[in-house]
Amino acid sequence: MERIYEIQMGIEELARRALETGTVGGVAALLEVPETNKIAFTLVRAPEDVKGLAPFSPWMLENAARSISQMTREAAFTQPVAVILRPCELRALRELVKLKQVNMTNLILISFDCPGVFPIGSRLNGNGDLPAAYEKAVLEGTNCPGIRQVCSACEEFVPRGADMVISLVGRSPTDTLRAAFPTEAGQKFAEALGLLAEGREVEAGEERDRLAGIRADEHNALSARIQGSLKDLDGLVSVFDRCISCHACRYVCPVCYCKDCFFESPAFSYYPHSLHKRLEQSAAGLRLPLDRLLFHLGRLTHMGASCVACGMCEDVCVAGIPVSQIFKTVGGDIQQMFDYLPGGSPDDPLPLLTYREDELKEMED
Amino acid sequence: MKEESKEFTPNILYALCSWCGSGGSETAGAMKLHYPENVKPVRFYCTGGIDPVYIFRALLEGADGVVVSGCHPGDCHFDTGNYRARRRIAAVKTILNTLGLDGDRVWLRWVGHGEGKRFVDTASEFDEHIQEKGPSPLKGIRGV
Amino acid sequence: MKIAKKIPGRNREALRGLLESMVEKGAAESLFAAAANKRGDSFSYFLMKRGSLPDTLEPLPPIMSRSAAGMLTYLTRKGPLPGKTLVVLRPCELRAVTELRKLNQIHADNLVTVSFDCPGVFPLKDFFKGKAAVLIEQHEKALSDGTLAGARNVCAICAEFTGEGADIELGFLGVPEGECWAVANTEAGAQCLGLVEGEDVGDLSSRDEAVQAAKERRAVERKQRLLAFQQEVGGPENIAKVLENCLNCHNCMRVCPICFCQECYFESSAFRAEADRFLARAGRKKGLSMPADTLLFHLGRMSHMSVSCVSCGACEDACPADVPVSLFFSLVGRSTQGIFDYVPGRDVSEPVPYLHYEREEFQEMEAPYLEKRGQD
Ligand code: SF4
Ligand code: SF4
Ligand code: SF4
Ligand code: SF4
Ligand code: SF4
Repeated sequence: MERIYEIQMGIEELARRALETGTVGGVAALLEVPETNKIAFTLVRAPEDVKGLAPFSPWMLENAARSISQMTREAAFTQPVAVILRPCELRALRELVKLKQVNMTNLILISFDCPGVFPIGSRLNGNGDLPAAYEKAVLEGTNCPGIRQVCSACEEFVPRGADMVISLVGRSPTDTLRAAFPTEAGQKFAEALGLLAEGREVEAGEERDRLAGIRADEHNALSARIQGSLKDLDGLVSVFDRCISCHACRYVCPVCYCKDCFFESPAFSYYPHSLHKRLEQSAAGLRLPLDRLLFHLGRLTHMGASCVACGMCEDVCVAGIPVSQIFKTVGGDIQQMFDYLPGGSPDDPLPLLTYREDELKEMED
Repeated sequence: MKEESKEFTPNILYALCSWCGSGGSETAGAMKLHYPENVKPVRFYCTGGIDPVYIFRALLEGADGVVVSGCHPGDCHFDTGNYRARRRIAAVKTILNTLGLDGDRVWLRWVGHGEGKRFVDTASEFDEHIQEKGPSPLKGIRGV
Repeated sequence: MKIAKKIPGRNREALRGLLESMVEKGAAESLFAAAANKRGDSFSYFLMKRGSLPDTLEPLPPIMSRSAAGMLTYLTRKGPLPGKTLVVLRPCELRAVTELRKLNQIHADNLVTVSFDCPGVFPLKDFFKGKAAVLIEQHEKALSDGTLAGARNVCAICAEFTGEGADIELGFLGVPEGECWAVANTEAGAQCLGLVEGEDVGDLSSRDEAVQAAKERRAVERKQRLLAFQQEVGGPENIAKVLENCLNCHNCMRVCPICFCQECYFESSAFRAEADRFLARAGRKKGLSMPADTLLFHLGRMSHMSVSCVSCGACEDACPADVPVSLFFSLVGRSTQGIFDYVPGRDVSEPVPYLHYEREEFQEMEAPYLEKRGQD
C-alpha cells in the first residue's frame, strides 16, 4: 500500500525550499511568468525565481518530455534537478529513455494524478469560467467539461515510476499538499526536506477511483467513435481531408524525436519527370504535396507503439483533425497487440526493436 | 542616474575577422595598448560569416552590446565578405530599431591590420557608449 | 502585344471557364490550380493534366491552405516541369514565386502564370469553423467589390493585390457585372490567351481607375495598420507580450514559402548543449522558458528572410497559437526592404539584397571614427 503524507506547504514553497537547502540544483515545471500571461515549462535555478510555479495549472503548451530530452540528450545534469510532469509527459520521458533521447541521471521525477488539461485554443479565447469549473471537477473526481478529448479518455492518469506522487484529484487548491514517495530517490528527497517528519500519513480518497471509472467509459466511447470514422480507406481519406501537410503534429510530438524526419527527407523530394509520370497515371490530378496519407500512416507505424496519447499533436493542428484521438486509438491497438504500455515498465523492450521467431503467427497468411 | 550607470560594467562582445580585425588587436598588443577587460574579443574567419543570429543570440543571452570589426572596403581577404557583413548589420540594426530594441547596441567599424590604436579606441569608445546606455533590457526579457 | 479579352461568366465561373478552354485548346499540357478536396469543404493545390480536369476545380478558393509558391518549389526544385503548365497564383504567391526563382528554388521554364484581382481570403481557422457555402458566396461577392469582410490581417492591408506580374492577369474590379477581363501581359500569355474566343476589351480604363483607387486606399491603410502595430509591439516588454502565446513550434517557418532551407538553423545542432548549460542559462535569465529561444527564432528568421517576405499570411494561418506572425514579419519586412529599396517579387532580374553588395553603400551604418583619443 502506498503511504501518503500530508505536507504543510504548497508546491512553490516546496520547490523554493528544495533549492534553498541545496537538495536540488534546479527545478523544472510549468510556471506563469509574472510580467506576461505566458505559461511555460520553465527551468529554474534560483530559489527566488520559483515565483509563479504552477505545475497543476490546466494547460500543456508542449509535452515537457521534449524539453527534458533537449536538455539532457548531450549530457546529464551533474546535480539533482526536480522535474514536475504530468503522467503523459512522464510516460513520454520514460519512452525516450528507451530510445536513448533522455539521460535520467540526477532527475527527480515528481508527478501527480492528472485531472487533464484544456486545449491550447481555449486559452487563446480567454480563460473565462474555466478555472472555477476545473477546480470543482478536480475536487469531485470528474472530467471537467472542455478538457482535451484524449484527457477525458485517459486511463493512465496516475503516474508510474515517479519519485514523488502528489495527490491532486479530490483535493482543492487551498488544501495542503499530499504526496507519496514510492522510490528510494523519492524517500531521500523527502527526508532531506524533512517532509516525512513534518507530515502525517493519510488515507487515499475515493475520487481517484471515481475518475478512473468515468475515464474508462470515455475511453471506450472515444475508441468506438474513431474506429467508426476510420473503418475503411474512404474513412481515412475523409478524416485527413483538410490536412495541409504542415507536419506540426509530428514536430510537437514528444515521441517523434527523429532529427531528420523521413517524411521530410530527400526520399520525398521528387524529380519533375517522376512527378509527371505519376500525373499521367492519375485520374483526378495530384494533390499537393503528395504523400499526405502516407505521412500519417507512416508516423502511425513508426511511433504508434510509443504514443502516450498526450494530445499535443491535435492541439497544434490548425485543420482541426483529431490527430491525437486517432493516434491514441490506433496506437492503442498496436500496443495491445504487443501487450506494451509506452512509458510503463523500463524493462519492457520497445516492441519494434525486439523480434521473436515464434510471435505474431496470426499476422501471417 | 548617471552616477549609477557609471557603476555598471557592460558585457561587450567584440567580433573580429581573423585577418584585419584580429590583426588590429595583434598590432595593439605589440604596441602595448590597453583596452577595457570587459570587452571580449571573438574571432570569426570573416565578418561575412557573422550570421545576424549570432548577434541577436549574444544580446539575448547576456551581452549589453556587440561591436564588429573587419577589413576596410577593398581589403577583404574574400573580396566581399565585409560588404556582406555591412548589409547584414544594416538589417540587424533596422530590425532592432523597428521593434524598439535599440539598434545602437550594435556597431560596425572597419579596423585594418596595422590599426592597433583604432582597435583599442573602438573598444573603449564602444564601452563608454554602452555604459551610458546602461544594461541591455534584451537580456532580461523573461518567457521568450 | 497587350491583348485583353472579355470572358463571360461570374467571377469564379469565368476564370474556371477560361482555364478549361485554354487547356483544352492546347495552351498547356497541365494545369496547376486549386481544387476542392474530397469532402468539398476545403481546398488544396493540384497538378492536373489536360483532358481530365476535375469538376472540383476551384481556382479562386476563399482560403489559402498553403502558399502555391511552396508547392511550386516542391514540384520544380530539382528542375523544370517537362510540359508547359498553366499555374494559377494569388498575387502574393506570384511574388513569392519570383523571389524563389531568384533563390534558385523554383525553375520556372514551361510555367505560364495566371493571376487575378485578389480580394483576400479568410483565415484558415475561421473558414474551418464557419459554414463553407456561406463563406464561399461572401467571397464571390468580394471578388467584384474588392473588399472581403473578415479577411486575414495581411489581406486587409494588401496594396499589391492585382496579377500585373503574371503572364495573364484576370480583372474583376471595375469590370461590368457578368464578365471578367483577361489581359495578357507577356508574349507567352498572349499565345495562350489568343487561343480562346472572346470579344476584345477596347477600353481598359474603368478597371485601371478602380484598381488605382483601391491601391491608394490600401497603401494608406497598410501604413497605418503597420505603424499602429509597431506601437503595440515596440520595446522589450511589448514584444514579450506579443509572443507570450508562441509555442515555438516553428510551424510559421515550415509553411513560409520564402523559408526554403531544407535544414533550418533553428532546428540545427547549434541549439544542443549539455544539461548544466541550460541550468546556467536558467540562472542568468531568472528562469528559462522551454522550448527556449523563441524570440531568437523570430528575430533570426526576420534577419534571414524578411527582405523577401511577401506578406502572404501563410505563417499566421498555420500558427496554432494565434500569434500575429504575418503582421510582425510584414512590419519588419517593410523596414528591411526599405533600407535596400527592395520590393520582393517586383522583378526577377533584381537581385536579392543579401546576394548583392556595393563598395560604397550603407556608410551610415558604420560607427564614425573621430580619433578623438589622439587629440587628448
Ligand atoms: S498538424 Fe494537422 S494539418 Fe498539419 S500535418 Fe498534422 S494533421 Fe495535417
Ligand atoms: S502522437 Fe500525438 S498524442 Fe501521441 S505522443 Fe505524439 S503528440 Fe502525443
Ligand atoms: S529561419 Fe533562416 S535558417 Fe530557418 S528556414 Fe528560414 S531562412 Fe532558413
Ligand atoms: S513570413 Fe509569413 S507573410 Fe512573410 S512570406 Fe513567410 S509566410 Fe508569408
Ligand atoms: S508564431 Fe505560431 S507558428 Fe510560429 S513558432 Fe510561434 S506558435 Fe508556432
